[in-house]
Amino acid sequence: MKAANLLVKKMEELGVDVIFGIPGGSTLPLYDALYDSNIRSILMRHEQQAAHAADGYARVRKSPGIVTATSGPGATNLITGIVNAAMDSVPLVALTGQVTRPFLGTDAFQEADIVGLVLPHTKYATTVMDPRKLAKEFVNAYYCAFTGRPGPTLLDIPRDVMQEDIGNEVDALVLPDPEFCRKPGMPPESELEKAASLISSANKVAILVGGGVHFSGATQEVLRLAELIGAPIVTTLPGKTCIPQDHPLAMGVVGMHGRLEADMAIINADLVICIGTRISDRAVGPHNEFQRNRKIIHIDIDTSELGKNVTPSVRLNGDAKQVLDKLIDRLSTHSLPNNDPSWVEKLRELRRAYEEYLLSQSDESRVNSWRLVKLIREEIPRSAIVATGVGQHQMWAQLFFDVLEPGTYITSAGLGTMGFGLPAAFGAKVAAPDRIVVNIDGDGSFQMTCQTLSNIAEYNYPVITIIFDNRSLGMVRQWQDLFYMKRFKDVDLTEITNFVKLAEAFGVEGVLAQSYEEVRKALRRAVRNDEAIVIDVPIDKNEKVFPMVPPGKWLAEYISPPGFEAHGKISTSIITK
Amino acid sequence: MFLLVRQGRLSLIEANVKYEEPGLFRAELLIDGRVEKIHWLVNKLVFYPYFKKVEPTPIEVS
Repeated sequence: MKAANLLVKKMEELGVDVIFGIPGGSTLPLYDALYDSNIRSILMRHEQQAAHAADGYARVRKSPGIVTATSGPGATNLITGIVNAAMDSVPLVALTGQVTRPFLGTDAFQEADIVGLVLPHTKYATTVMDPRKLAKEFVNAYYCAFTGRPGPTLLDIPRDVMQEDIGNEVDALVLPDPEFCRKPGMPPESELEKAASLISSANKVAILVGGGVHFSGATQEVLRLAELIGAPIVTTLPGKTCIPQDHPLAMGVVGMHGRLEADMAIINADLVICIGTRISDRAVGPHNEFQRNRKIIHIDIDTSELGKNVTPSVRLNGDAKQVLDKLIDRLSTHSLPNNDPSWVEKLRELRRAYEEYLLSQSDESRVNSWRLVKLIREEIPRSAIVATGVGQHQMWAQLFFDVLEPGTYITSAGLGTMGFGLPAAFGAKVAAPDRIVVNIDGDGSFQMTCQTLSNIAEYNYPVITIIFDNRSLGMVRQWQDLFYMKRFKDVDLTEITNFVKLAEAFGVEGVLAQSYEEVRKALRRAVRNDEAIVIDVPIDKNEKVFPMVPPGKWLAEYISPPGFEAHGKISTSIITK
Repeated sequence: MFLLVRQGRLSLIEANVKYEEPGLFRAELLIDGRVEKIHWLVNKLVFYPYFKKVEPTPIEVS
């Protein structure tokens, strides 16, 4: 049996049912082994798109996405997708072909040190030199990708390693080595007691939810805790997928482009419970300001995150679901915090006031982006999965798209990769073919990975794409507008490109929609029939994303749209010690 | 290992790496830097399956 055949057998045993990739000279033995396998291999059009597709698949299935590429440029094309997965803690296993062992280090044709290149951005990366260890290495890489804090792993496999005959004696069961499946522990009872005491004695508690809650499956535990102590829930961008926005305590995304009511919840809190988040400055602003005048309880599966950016009063290291269960139990022996219930109502009033203000400013002669996002929510089912690209459209979706069921929102948060949306949506559709999948994209992002349309048509995994088309790199343009005195440079994209014809060239219907009714009609039809479509919606390039907290500033220093002042709507007293 | 020292903005004073058996090495690093960052480094190293065990030993420098 060839090593590649045993590798494929182990993949089947672990439940791998699909691989995204592009074959090449160095991966011929792997593809030959896949020929006889039930594992579907999906031929993508660029390895970056293959990595993003595997990423979207993994976020929906909550198990590792598998991507493969040949050596050299195939492997290096994966790098953006691998780093993207690392930044958002998504389980991914990348299999790259490599030149044969005698040629390693000779600058051979299509040789690249992919392990060296991805080492800082993977949980594990290695070149497999012994064919007899290939199956074991895959099992190790697979388990490593999803155990503890999820992340990408990479196996670099020389072609002759894959090709070598390893005989017919095969281990029936291959288990991962202990270092590759280190299960998280639980925090000591004394720390849980400290946390419960802090919560009990707080005046205004807020909960900050990160993406870790998604992979832990801890949404219900977060909601139980919030309801028990009456705490508003804010999320990071990756955490947005975890909390249904129609819950009365849900305040939305916090941070640089966060909801005003979410920012106010943090500003006014004297205790923040941070769950499954690395507490990025994008979410909370400067860390020294976040820590000032408020206590922090930090729950995370990765010990190295506790104390990295902020110094928490209590560190609870463990899986979010299990830790929250214990914490809620512990709280039953304590009195509830002094949370003033009118505080949450004031935050909700702020939300209503802001949306009323936006409505009053709407220009009915053209499509306004925030209303377009709301329209999309109205027309798709609760269980629909939404992916986004990166840019202004992503921020409008962050602010105005209401997630109604956990695990239905996919976006590139940490790395902010333009072009992520369409291939990730495709991967999500492969993972959940019976759900509606929508890609909210910008014209800049869309053009980076639009070739995925041909996969959508060829494999019949329909994705509905709505392009917020302002013919510009809108977010960069906004920063040049606000911070560089409107000195616009290289942010305007040509009017020449016809997205309707582009979509049709790839075998997907394209529609130009210039009013809400035209969008609604096309979207409704596509949802009813679950069919692929690209809806190109022209929007004003001068439309900006507000509110915004300038880089390096505290959340309280937000910029509102002209004419709206949140301070008039809610008191922003900071609790002082 | 060295990439993580760099990521933590720590100063590497000395490194000794000894071969123990096939596929197993023992490394002793002398590092200077903020205590919190050194704690971070220890916790971060354990995150990776490359490392079986990590033991920090604080030393006082006069």
